[in-house]
Amino acid sequence: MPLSRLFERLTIGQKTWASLALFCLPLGVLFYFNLDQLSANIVFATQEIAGNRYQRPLVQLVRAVADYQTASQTGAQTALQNGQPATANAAAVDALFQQLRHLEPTVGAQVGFDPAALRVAKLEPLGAAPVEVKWQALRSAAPTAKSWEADGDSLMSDLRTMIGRAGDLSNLTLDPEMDSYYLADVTSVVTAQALHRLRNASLFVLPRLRQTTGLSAADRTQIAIYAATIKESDYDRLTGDLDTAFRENAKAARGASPTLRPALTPLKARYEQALPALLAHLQALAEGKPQRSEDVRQSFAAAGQATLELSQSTVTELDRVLEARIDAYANYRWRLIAGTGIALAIATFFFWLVVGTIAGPLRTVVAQLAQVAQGDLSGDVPPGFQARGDEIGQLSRSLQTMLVALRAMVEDISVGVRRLSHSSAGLLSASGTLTSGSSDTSLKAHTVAAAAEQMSANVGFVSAGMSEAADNLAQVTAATTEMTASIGEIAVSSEQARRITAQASQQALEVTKQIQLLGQAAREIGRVTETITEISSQTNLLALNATIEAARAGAAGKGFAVVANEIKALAQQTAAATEDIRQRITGVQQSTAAGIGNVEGVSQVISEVSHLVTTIAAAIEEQATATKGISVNLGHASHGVQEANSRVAESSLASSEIARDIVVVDQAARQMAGTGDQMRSSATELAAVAEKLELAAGRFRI
Amino acid sequence: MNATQPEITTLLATFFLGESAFALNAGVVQEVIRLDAVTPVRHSPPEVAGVINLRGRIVTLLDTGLILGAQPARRDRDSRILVMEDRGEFLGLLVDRMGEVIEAEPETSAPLPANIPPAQARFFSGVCRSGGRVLTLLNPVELLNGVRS
Repeated sequence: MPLSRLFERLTIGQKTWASLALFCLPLGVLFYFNLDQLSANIVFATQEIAGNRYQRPLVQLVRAVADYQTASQTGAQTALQNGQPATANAAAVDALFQQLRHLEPTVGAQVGFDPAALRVAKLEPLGAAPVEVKWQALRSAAPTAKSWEADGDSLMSDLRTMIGRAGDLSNLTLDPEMDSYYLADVTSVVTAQALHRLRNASLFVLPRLRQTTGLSAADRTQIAIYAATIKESDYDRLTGDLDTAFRENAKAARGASPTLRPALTPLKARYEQALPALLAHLQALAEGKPQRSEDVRQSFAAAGQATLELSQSTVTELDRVLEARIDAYANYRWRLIAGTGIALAIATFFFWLVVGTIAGPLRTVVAQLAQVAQGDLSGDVPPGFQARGDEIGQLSRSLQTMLVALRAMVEDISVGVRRLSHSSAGLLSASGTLTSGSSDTSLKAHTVAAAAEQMSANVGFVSAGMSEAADNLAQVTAATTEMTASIGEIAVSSEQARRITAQASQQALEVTKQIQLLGQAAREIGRVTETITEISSQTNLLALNATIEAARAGAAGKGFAVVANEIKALAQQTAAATEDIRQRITGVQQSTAAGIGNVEGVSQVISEVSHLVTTIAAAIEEQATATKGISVNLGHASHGVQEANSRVAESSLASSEIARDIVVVDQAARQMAGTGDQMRSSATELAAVAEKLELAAGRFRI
Repeated sequence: MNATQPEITTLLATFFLGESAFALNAGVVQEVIRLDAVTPVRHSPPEVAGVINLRGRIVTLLDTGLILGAQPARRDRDSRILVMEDRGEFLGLLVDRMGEVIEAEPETSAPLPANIPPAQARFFSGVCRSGGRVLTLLNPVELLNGVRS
């Protein structure tokens, strides 16, 4: 932004004045347009006055030419209207033309009658010179000439056109007030038109009154037309214009002319007397009533005179109105200028105040800062500035705070510099120590680096081991959990087993008892069978002996031998049965003994089992407790192992970092060793710098 | 009585020593008794087991096993004593156990096998079969004489 850069280059005063200029710019523009408008109004009014000046001889010319013609027509020595002879009237016309020629280069040029302007408007015949040429032609012509009356009429038309142009070019329509408009209508249109019509009417009427034949019907009709035209187009319009002008002037906001109504009222009254009188004659003539020619002529003359005088006075009053208007505009213009000037002065004063209260203190503060820049910290910001409530006050307070802080700081710096000087000497000796120490460090760093590598490797192994341990622990924990469950089941089962074995033991005891009873019974049976065996044996023996006896007896003993044989057979059957019983009993006894043995074995086994089961139950109980402890401890161990694992990982990381750091340390130590000499030289330089700093700090005035 | 003349139907009392079966003419046997209390006789030959009191009579008890050159006879519940009378004197033959009293079948008789030693051979008169087993027939005269000598 070039504009912002430009504003950065400006001082505060310049900026403020630039702001003032920008503030004044619209004011100036408004002022200019106002002034321009006022000036245009004044110019318009001035031009209107000039037009009036040019108009005045033209109106008189209309009247004078009319007088000349009426006078010439009658051939009388005296004019009909003003009672003067034609020659006198002609001289008056000449004088008026001379006046007009005189006015043309000055006033005429002002209102558009210089030859160049007329040529542009293609109105060359309306210049003073060509119209005068026309007048001279009319004058030299005889009144009896055929076109004499028409030529006069043409001349009057030219004059009236000139009057109109003089009025038109004054920019009358631009006047905001209506009174000037109606007055100008009177001066530049109506009066000239009225004079022209009066001339036409008098040229028509007066010769016919002198005829002996009287007025024809056509003449009467024409006179009636003249009367009506004069009444409506001239008289009513003129009086109406004036009445309106009076009213408007009284209402005019600025530039009302107090003389307008008093000056014109008597003239208007005379006009209002003269015109109706003429009209009454004309009316009478039109109705065929004979009128005295002289009366009619006089009433024409009076009407023309009254019209001319009213016209002239109206022009004069219009001038006055315009002058009053010019005065009002000038007055207003002056007030505008004065008001603008005062407003500007007040604004300038306030800006001056603003600049004064900002730029002045700022310059002071800047001067103070310049002093600080040169090292003079002894000055204080004026207390008046510090007490201010605006930004200057804030700035001053901050500057003061800064000054105090700077003073303290410079003192501190001085002390510090002295210390620095002292320290630089120490540093010099320390740098020597550093050089040797750093080479030591490098050496040790090598050792540490090797150790750290080793440690890193070891930690890696440990880490691997720890993760395995963690895995194993997890497995063991799972197994222990399962084992706890199994032990619980075993405990239940062993309790059941203990109960069953106790029952079995009891039953075995009972079975043993039963078997022993059975054994006893078998033994008793055995004794019985032995007795029977004994008996059968004896019986057998007895039978044997009987047989033998029978055999010895020979044939006599044959029957006996049969009986003996029978007995022996019985004894043998008994013996066989007994033997069978005995064998069975023996089997029973053996079975019983074996059963007892077995039952005892079973009993023993059961009691052993019972004992074992009890032992197992106790052991399982302990085992369960132990397992729970193990489980808890395993949890702890697992947690510990995990922690240890993470520690190991950390230490692995740390050891790696140590290894890396040690490398860095080694490098640093080498650099330190390398830069030890540099440091010594730097320390020397530092001592020199410290001296310089002492010098520099001494330069500050505190 | 004449022991060498067997009757038409001869009854044989069989007995056992160990596993060996022997037979003796039932006619020469007074009676068969059980082994009871035996009173030993001092200085007697080993074949004499002692003396027993049989209803007031003294019976000399001989160990048949030893007489026949075999093992001594067992002395238990099955032990039996075959009581015989020889000229007013009562002898008892101790055997392991008694067998049946059977009828002799001459057609089955056979001489002694030749391998019997001569010292014992005089006590045997031959062998015979009975019930599928071989019985050795004893000569009661030689047996009694042998005991006397």
